[in-house]
Amino acid sequence: MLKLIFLNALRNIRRNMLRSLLSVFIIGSMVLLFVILHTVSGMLTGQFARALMHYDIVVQSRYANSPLGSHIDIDAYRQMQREEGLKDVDAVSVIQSSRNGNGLWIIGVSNYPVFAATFGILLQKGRVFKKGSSEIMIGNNAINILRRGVGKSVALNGGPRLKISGTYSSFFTLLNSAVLTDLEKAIELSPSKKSISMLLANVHDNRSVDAEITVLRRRYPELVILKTETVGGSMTTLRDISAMTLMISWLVFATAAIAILNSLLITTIQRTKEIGILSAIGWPKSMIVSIFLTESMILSVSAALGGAALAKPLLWLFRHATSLSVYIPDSIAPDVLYKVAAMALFVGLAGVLAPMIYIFRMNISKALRHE
Amino acid sequence: MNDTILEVRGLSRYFDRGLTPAVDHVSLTLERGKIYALVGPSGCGKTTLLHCIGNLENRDGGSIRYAGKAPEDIRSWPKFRREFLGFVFQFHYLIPTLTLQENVESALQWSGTVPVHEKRARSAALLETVGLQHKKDMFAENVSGGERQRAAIARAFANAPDLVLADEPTGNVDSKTGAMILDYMKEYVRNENKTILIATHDPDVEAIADEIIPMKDGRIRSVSERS
Ligand SMILES: Nc1ncnc2c1ncn2[C@@H]1O[C@H](COP(=O)(O)OP(=O)(O)O)[C@@H](O)[C@H]1O
Ligand SMILES: [Mg+2]
Repeated sequence: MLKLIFLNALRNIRRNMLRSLLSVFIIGSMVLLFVILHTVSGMLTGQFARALMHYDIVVQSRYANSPLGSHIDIDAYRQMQREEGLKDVDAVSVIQSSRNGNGLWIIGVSNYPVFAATFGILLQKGRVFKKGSSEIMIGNNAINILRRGVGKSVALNGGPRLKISGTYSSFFTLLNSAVLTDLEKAIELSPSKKSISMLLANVHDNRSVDAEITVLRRRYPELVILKTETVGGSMTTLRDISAMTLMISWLVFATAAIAILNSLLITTIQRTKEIGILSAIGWPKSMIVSIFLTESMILSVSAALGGAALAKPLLWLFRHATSLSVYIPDSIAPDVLYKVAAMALFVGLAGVLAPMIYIFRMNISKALRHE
Repeated sequence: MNDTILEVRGLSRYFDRGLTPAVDHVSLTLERGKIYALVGPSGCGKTTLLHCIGNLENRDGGSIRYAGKAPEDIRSWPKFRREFLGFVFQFHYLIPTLTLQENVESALQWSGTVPVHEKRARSAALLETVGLQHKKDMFAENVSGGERQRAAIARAFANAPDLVLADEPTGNVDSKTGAMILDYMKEYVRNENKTILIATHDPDVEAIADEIIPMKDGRIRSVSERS
């Protein structure tokens, strides 16, 4: 009997192919938009916030709006390492490079284990670079950009040849298009040969972070010293992105729901007589609703599958065709897909709301006389 | 055993705020094992009366008893319609997206205890009795009007209903199909001791009916017994 309901739904979809396709197209586009929106905003919000949590303070040079534009003198780093109130003073140096027409970051780190833990660096092949050697690790995407693997060597930014000791992946997608090496090696490859992008440090447990920051600010007037908590909290941009994402998500959901509702309502009214017949031969109204629910579900699930399937190639296209590539991950997080599944389910259910009311309030005799 | 299958007393249904008395204080009694012909001009209220009897249409007054049972005592109308009633409509009313066999099966859908293969077998057998076994997998729109009406007959009788309400079943079919339908109905009533109420214009229906119920302007004039 379920087979009959399913067949009937399928044949009706085929019978109204054009309208069905339009609904699937609208809902599919909404799903696609939803996936891309969540993937990009998830990348922007979640990853940055997580990355900063391991340290008490973060230091950049003045007038820098990102680690890339920040230049901290290496002497300031050495001096800060000797600060009594600080422990775990770590430096990160981000240097721009390019290869075969693709942008590539060279990232030098003073404390690889902490950096790896913070950014979820997972060794894929080979081993970690040795401190003080000419070794580098390269990210998953960098393999394609450099067109070389473990054991091979490569020269970057006109410097000496560097040996690839291993490959890695990271949840922080920017890092997948990067080369990871020892801080000193990276500084060697930088144009100025003496600048660091960012310092991260923890304050000794027996001191107050705020007090320490006040002291440091006085001592290093050329640097911007921030509490990571306030950096996270003051990242209004990120908060706004989340809020906007949520708002657009609801709009997207409502549009999809209205599209399917409209389509299903037309179908239901067109098939008034069929509903009358089924009632007359003893179908419970709930089972008649299930015919339309099945149709609605088939439409919304196929739209969701189509939309989700197209998201990956579209993201790939954005990565390769726009300057936003570092903000666009190449994979879709499972939780976005769960949200899509939930969306498909609720859109399918929403589609049958109006038909349900129509069917339950219907006068069977009038339905049978319907032309 | 009570031989009264349906008892209608003072049944009324008005449309347009009472301006159109489609059914006006109708009383009738139908017995088991008989065919009744409800005869009257178009617009006299035959369809409305049939729909009221099947509770497809609301009543504005009067009472109905189905083999002694009041409508208020029927807990599930879908179940009651499946088990007690069968409907045949003037224009076959098959579901266009189902094959003839699936249309017949649709009447057996919610008879929970019957296994699936038995439903298939029963619907195939029913189609065979109306001479459609070779067309059972065709869709309604691909067969002739007469064949559609025969499939609709098979669907109406699928659950072996006690009372079949047939609304001009021969009104839109050729005379050969009409004769076949009437033969089928006659057989059914004789063999199963069931009852059929046929709204009609067709003299052939009047010829096979055990009783004629003349209707005019929503009223029943007098029931004439035939010998
Ligand atoms: N839903 C309705 N609303 C208003 N008038 C109706 C409705 N259904 C039937 N009628 C009217 O009731 C009368 C009886 O109609 P009907 O029962 O179809 O007669 P018959 O089946 O004998 O041709 C007609 O005048 C018809 O116009
Ligand atoms: Mg009529």
